[in-house]
Amino acid sequence: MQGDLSTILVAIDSVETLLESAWKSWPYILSILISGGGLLFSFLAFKEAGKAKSAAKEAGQTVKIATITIELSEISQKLDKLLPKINFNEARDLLTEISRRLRRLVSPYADDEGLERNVQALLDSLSSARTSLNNVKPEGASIETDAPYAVYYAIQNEFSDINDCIADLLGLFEMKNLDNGGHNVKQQT
Amino acid sequence: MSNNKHEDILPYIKSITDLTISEKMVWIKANPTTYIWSTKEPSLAKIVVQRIVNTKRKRDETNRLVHVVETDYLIQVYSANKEPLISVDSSQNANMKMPLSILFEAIDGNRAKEALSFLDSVLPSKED
Repeated sequence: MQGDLSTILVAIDSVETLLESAWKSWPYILSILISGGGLLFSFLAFKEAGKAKSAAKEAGQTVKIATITIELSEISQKLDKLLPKINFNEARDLLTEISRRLRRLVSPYADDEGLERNVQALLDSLSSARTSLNNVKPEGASIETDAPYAVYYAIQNEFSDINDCIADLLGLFEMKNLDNGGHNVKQQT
Repeated sequence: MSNNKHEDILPYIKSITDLTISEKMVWIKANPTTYIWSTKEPSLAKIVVQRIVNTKRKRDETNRLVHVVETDYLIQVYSANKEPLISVDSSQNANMKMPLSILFEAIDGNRAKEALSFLDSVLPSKED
């Protein structure tokens, strides 16, 4: 029994001696250094990936805003070409189309701190235009051509107001894009 | 489109209003805010009266943009060539707002009176 215990103690002693000598050996120190270096590089790569991700996100946002400004300009040009002899059906179709397009473009920015008010103003203008258009919905025996400018007079101010709201938003989006670009430049330097 | 800025038309608007009230001019409703009167004698002519409700953006006392509802009126006189000879818009001539609103209310009131008297004529009397 005593012999077994002494054998175990001798074994432990020899393991300790082995470890002590391993700590001091070059291959062991080298492997520690390589592992540490690997860990450091992994950490740096992780940080760089994070930066790349946010840069890609900002680039995506810049492209999206550029697309929005192009579409807003198109809608604005369409509104500029409102003809005095526009009839109810044409005006209704035009309002439906621009309303759908504008809502799709601006709704993601409805809670954006810098755009919130302008988005709401645009939505209010669209709603007013719809009310004005309903005020000239043809009824009775009269045909629409009897009052050829009625629709135009009813909606021209509302459409001009929508266009003003679009112009305001265009300016703000363009500024937002400039800010994004500046931020990117800052990050790159 | 001509926009008569002179107030020479004011007596005519007054005269049209009187003729409407006395039911000598009967108007046709083109849409909820537009009425038309037309004649073939002595020559083809048409008068269009329209109420225009606009929502305008204005700055309030705190410099915030707010929507303000404004009502304006328009009268147009057409000859046979289908282009307006006279066009008066109260948004461009504030003095015209009151006489045109009186004319519009007279036309609208007459139409409502006509509709009610028709309803009255078709309903069975209470004594039956």
